[in-house]
Amino acid sequence: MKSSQFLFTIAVSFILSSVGMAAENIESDFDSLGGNAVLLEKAKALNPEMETSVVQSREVNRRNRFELAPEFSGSFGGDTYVKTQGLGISAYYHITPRWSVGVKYKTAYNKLTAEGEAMAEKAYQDYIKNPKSPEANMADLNYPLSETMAVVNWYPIYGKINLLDAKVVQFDTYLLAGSGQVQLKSGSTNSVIAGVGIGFWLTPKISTRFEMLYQSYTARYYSGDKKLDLAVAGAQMGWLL
Amino acid sequence: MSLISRLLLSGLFAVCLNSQLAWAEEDLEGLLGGTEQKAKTEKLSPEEVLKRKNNVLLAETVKTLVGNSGSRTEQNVFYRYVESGDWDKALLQYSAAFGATPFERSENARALQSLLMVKSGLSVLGMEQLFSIRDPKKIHFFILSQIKEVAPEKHPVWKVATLGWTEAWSEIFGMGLEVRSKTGQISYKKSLELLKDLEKRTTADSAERGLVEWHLALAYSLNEKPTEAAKVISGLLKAKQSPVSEDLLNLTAARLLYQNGYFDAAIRYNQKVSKAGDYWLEAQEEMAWAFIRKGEPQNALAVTKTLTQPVFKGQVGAESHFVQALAQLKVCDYPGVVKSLKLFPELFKERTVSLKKLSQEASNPLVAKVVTDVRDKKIKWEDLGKDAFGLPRWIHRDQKLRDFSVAQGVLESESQVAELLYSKSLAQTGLQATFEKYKSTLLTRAQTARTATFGRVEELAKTEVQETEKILAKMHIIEAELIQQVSMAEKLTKAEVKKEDIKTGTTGSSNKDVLKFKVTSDEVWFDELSNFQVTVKKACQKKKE
Repeated sequence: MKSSQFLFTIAVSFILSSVGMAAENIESDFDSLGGNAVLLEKAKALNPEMETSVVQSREVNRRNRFELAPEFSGSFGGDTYVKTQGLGISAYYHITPRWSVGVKYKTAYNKLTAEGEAMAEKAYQDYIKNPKSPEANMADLNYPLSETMAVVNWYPIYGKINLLDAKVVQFDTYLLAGSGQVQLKSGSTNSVIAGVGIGFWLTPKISTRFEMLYQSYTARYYSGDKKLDLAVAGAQMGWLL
Repeated sequence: MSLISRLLLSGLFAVCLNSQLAWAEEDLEGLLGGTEQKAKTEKLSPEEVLKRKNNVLLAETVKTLVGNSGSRTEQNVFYRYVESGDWDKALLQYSAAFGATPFERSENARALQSLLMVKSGLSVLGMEQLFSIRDPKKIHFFILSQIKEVAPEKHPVWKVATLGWTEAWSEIFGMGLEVRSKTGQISYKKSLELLKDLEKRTTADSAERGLVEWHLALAYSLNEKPTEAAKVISGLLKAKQSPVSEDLLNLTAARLLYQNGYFDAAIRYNQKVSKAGDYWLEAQEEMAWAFIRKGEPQNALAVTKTLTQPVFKGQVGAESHFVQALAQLKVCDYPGVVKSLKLFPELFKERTVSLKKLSQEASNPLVAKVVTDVRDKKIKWEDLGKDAFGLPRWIHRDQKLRDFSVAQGVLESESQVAELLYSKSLAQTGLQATFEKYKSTLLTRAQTARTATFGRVEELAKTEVQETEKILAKMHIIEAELIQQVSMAEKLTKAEVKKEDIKTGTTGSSNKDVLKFKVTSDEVWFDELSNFQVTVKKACQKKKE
């Protein structure tokens, strides 16, 4: 009985030690992999010159596609006494992701600037004091009522942003140029625009754009024609058809 | 008699008897002046009333089948239990009611007992007893319709019970169940003829035909008949009812094409596997191999750049890292090879040691939790949490494990039912050896199923350890080759680059309007995965001093 117990103990310890050895073997096999520092130095002398890039599809197909984008904008510069904001709509036809053409229509909403209001108040007070012969000057105001522009967009730079790890949104920055007509209080006049913008393609159907434009037109005043240079900042929410 | 005519007859039978039956038990009570029961009945919902009527109908059917043999009193007790739906009590009363009667030896008696067993929660034993009846055509159609109602097609018993299917049973339960039951337990190497026969017997475009064809495709493939397998897979890809996901079909098609040397086509099918699916990583790995075999290591490198991302740690096997090192060696990216060799132990040493332990003893709380999870729902690797690193990488989607786990769950719950019935039998009728037998059989089978479930986990762990060990040996060969090539570098490298030496990558999006970003850091965006492209401009070149 004792001898059989002894044999059993030996057999068990043999099995256990062989399991342990197998585990040790595999660990030493792993440890011996890639541990040659001299080799690494030598390997560095050989340069395969590789270029790794990411080549991915655009989330939004912009070939042969229409986009409608309601817009809100605000103008800076121009007539000192009038502050102009606009509500409008733009329609674009995307020829390729690089090029699009479009039409913009905008209705203007004007109000006096603080300076304009002060001037009007001054004139009004003066009129109350001396209604028969008021002396305070009231400026000649001219402001836009609406405008229609034809534009061409060129999208040379693209990129993507990570929105708080929730979504990756691709975008294009673009240059924009266009010309058209501005309907002023004094009548209609030709206008040109040029600027930069950024378009975020939120989903295959929805986009958003932010633009900063330079606009130029000639306005008629009592004192004569005056060339106005404006900066227009606009934001659009687009729907890709 | 065909199944349809049997069912029609069953319906007609029910209508006729229902109109005549006047709730025998209640009528008797009514005669004796008791009206309480009737009042209770009136409060029952329409479904409960229907159930009750069915029970009365079943009792009446059995009464007709039994005739005048046996103890009337014991049988009446049995009928009352059946009428009130006390199935476990009815099962316990069965022997007292019908023991030693001519009815007990009939097919109907055995079918009735099976029905009572299934209704009492002993579905596996009940169905196995039912299928042991040699001539099912002799079973009364109402008993059969009751069994069909209590064990519909999706009941887990069909996966767990060992059933001897004959044509007669298929006529009763339908081809769908026969196909599911038979294909669940086949050996692909030996079952080609059985599957061909099932294919002939099933209807075109049906779900069961789809299931048979899927198994047939696998059987063809494993029996070295790739052309036939490809034909079947192609049919399944077009079929309206596919038993497996489109991803799995595409992956299988890719494998068949690869096996036969159609690497371009294999790559195309691998690309069809969706990124969000369970098989995407496998498809990527196999695509990398196809690129290697095509002689485009730069593309294999691009694919493995995705696979070796830290985010996939634990989900990607050692082979992906091997194919990366091999591709690096092929384009003489020696620093890259050294990096891969150094990274390999970091990723797989600890994991292999823990998998090795798991392959010897898988019974632990974490595995038990996963086993329960896979039984109840479809889970993803991410759902397993941090601890999943030490588990086999396919544990969450292994069909065999899922089947074993379902069997374990069913048998464990049935063994509890059997234990309860056993104790009730002691109280209601005195010791019945049958229930003791049920209890011990189910306990043994539940234990076996549990062993099989954990055994499957051990098997998965063992397979992965063996796979890693093989790859480790191959990585050592890569290291030896690296030493050899680096030491011979002076002789091997060329002085000038020729145009044909440039290996332009072709992976990533093939769309006309692509976005191209240079990879300059280790930061990887999820949307970039599988969109890498590697172009090797100067391979095997000596760096200028």
